[in-house]
Amino acid sequence: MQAPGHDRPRCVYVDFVNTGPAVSKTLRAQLQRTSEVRRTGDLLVTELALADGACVGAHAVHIATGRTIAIASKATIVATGGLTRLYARNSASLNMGGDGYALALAAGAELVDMEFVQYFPIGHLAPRLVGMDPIMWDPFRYKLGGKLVNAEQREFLGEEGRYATARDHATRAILEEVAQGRGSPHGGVWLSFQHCSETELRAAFGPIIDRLKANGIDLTRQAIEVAPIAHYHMGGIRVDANMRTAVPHLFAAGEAVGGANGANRLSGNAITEALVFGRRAGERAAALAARTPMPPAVGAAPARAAKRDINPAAEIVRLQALMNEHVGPLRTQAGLEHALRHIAALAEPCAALRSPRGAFDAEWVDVHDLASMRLVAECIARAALARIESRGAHQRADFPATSPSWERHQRIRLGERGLSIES
Amino acid sequence: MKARLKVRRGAPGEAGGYEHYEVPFEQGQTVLDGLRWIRVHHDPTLAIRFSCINANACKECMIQVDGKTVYACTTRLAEREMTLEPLPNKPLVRDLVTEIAPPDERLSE
Repeated sequence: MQAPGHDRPRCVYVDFVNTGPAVSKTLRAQLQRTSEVRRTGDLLVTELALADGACVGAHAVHIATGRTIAIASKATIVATGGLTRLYARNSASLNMGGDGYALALAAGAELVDMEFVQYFPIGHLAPRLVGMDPIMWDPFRYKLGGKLVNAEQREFLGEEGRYATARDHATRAILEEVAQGRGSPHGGVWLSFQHCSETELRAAFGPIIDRLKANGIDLTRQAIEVAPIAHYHMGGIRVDANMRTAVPHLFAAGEAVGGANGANRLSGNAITEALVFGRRAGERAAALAARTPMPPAVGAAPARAAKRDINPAAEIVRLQALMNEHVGPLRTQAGLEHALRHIAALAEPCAALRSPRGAFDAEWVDVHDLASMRLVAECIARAALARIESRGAHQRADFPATSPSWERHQRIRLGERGLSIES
Repeated sequence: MKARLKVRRGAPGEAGGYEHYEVPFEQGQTVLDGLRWIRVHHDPTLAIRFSCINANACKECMIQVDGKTVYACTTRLAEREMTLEPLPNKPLVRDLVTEIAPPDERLSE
């Protein structure tokens, strides 16, 4: 397939709407055949362990029991994915709150390009669809084209039949239609496949058509509403060509890494990124581990007690709404400063992270997540405020032009006095 | 519209019992939406395991609704009382959370 923004057909997909699950299934099966690899679930890493500035393992909480666990390690790879759970409208799973960035920052690593958060332009909006990934309409557009129209039933992307608009441009175009009062009832635009026959739809998407019908959606009779949704983070942990972070013995791979996709990732490049750089990180970490003695057992993380006066689940929802509105696809100085004030006010309640109280302490998990999300939200907002231009996924309403003097990366570190940005 | 959720709470070794919640919902919303609403508006200690939220990809939110084993993320809320319980054939962790990971992926003692 030739995906939008690519200059030739180079993307492969697994039917039906199954690329990610198929890749995961294959990787998992390969892993299970490798007896030297032990997988342990239900562990939430709370801190990377350091000795003489190098990473020697991690502290974790076993969620099912609430026990704290120390893991000694010769080499460690952060492969925790991205941060799109920070946004109210997202295609993320629950573990995409950016905790890998927070762990790496606290250990002394650098983050890069944190202001570049990608919105996927045609995320599902309405009617409510369950049991399906909200980004499922991309494969539909690859195969069947589809008509993206505003409330006046006018195609506003000027695509002339072919699905060719890159994600940053399509996102801006949709938001502009909505801002001009030409949006759909739920605040998006319409995507229609009503020009396709039932036979064409079934040939292209087989059982998915039935799953849509079970949700009350008949594509031959109705258009659906779509709108931009936070989907991927171009920024992340800064690594060298061997996937090494600034912290000795600490590597990173996948979406957790920043810098491989510039200011706007092209579709089809995220799973490939995870495979290519994941392999490289694994090889380099294994080679380092082979010549490193096992570090002594990591000391226990100190138990902490703190009083709570917030509902962390509610605070996460508030932060997500704030990020979506002010640190999302369209930004201004006033909005970013407003967001930063809110983020700063969360610092104190987040610092009061106690130890978990027994089995599956859901409230503790939320406070932990909120603390990571708060720190990473500050990184995005600070970098977005500093970049006074528009480029790719970073769009400033108050600085709409792309500036050649901003053809550079911003790097973030965490020190004694908080975050510092260099460019 | 409002659903009345009767939720089994507690962990092994605790007294436990049912708690009752009234949850506002719109047509199409799910039992998982209702449980997340309870955590945000009433009680963040309510334990429910889920990861992918809406895509039915992670398969972690399996519970019993009115005695039937279902995914909370694909079961729609209804304007009546619904009884939510942990899976009866898996070890209980807390509230609606049970131990569902395959044995070789669990933390060894």
